[in-house]
Amino acid sequence: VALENVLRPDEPRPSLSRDAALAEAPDSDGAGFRVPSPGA
Amino acid sequence: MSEIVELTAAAAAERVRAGELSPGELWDAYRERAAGDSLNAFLWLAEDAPDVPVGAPLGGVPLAVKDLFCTEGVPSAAASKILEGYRPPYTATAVELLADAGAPMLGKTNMDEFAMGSSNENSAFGAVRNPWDQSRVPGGSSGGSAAAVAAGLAPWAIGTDTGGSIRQPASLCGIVGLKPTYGSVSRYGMIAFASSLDQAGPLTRDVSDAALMLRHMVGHDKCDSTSTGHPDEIALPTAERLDGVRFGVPPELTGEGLEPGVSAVFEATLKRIEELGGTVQDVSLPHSGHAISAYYVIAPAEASANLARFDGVRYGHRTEHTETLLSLYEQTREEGFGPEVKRRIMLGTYALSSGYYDAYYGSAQRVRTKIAEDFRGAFDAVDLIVTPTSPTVAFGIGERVDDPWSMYLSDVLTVPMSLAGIPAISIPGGLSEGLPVGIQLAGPAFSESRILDAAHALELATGFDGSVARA
Repeated sequence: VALENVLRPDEPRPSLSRDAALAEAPDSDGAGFRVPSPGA
Repeated sequence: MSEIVELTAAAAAERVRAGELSPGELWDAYRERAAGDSLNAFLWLAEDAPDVPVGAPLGGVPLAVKDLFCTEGVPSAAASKILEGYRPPYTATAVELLADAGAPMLGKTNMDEFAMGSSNENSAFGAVRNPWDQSRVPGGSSGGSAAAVAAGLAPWAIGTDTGGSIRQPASLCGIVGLKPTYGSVSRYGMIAFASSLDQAGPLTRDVSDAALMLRHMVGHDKCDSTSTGHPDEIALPTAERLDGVRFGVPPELTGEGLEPGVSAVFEATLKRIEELGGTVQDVSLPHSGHAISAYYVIAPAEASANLARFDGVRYGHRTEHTETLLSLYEQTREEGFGPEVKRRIMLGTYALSSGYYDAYYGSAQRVRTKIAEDFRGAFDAVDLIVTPTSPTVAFGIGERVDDPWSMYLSDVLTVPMSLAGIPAISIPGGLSEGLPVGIQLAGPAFSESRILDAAHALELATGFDGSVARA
């Protein structure tokens, strides 16, 4: 049976920068979103 | 100044192209009108006149944008406290397409919070007033957009329609509102309410403006997985007659429950259709009576999933009560969402809960299929379906807020088309006791050009004068 891959090639593309993604965060450490401890 | 404001968007764009009007003059005229907004239609106004690409087809005609479209660097809150002050890092595709075509953003318009409502009273930033009678609602959820266009605070506006949120406020404000075929306009950058129903469309002063705006909104977008684009370029309407056009009147949507004044305008419209050469016949939509029930399962179910993202972590409001992660989530949502949004999240969460999913969401989806089949059957016999847009004219501010069901029934005539995913327009049909009555025309998927043509002929014959609301 002849099969053909229907998935598109996995090519990285530019997306939102980390700074832009964090710009609206209520709290961040510059690298990620900061939240209180789940266990507190 | 006032002369500029009396131009339709298409006419203003034409004057700019002819060199008789500068985009700057046009911008200033509307910026001044919008700054004097006494209807609470705008939540934010642009400060500076934007650069308009030379020769842009829309000529720099400013656009009012519903607050649920994300606009880069500009507050986009969907009229919710949970997103107050949020400035997105990107712009919705539909807004970007219109700006590229020469319709720069004049401001962001008020709406029911997350587009949940039919009166604009669910906004976290206050109710909007109807320019025809300021003690009455403009409809919703695109109430700010409709009021701004009707009052001449903006030449035209972009809104969104989930169950009637473009058509119903257009009807109540005496303007034109078009909900396109689901998928034809990208939903990318629209703050989602019910993803299988949400669709952006124009709110305009006349049918030609609606066609012109829609032409520059449609298109496939790889950022929206449900985007289909439109098979044809949207034609600018020219029809002055309705010869040979077959109109269907569904008894299920035109019988009981209509205000007498709405029925009278509807009957007059049917006569007008026949005078223009069209034919009118009954056509049954047997399941449409269940549309509101199915809609109020499907839409809240999808909303409950979509609104789970507002958690006070990545953007928007965060509570001061941050003792634990759970209290952060709970208190943020408790403080940020209004009562109607909470009601729909609870309804939707219940409908999707384990063990009830098939009984509620599954049943509602099966009803939805029946309704879509009803329309397909009807369009074997007729070209377009005609109904009133809303069973009533604009009601008083505060009149229905304590009775959600009566508010939901405001969309009883528009929800069936939403569930079927088909296009429908509302155009002014006349007045009842001094308030506008909208007429809805619906057609098969992707029949926008045909709907617009018929609406154009009807509009010409109706001769509705909306200038009162701009006074």
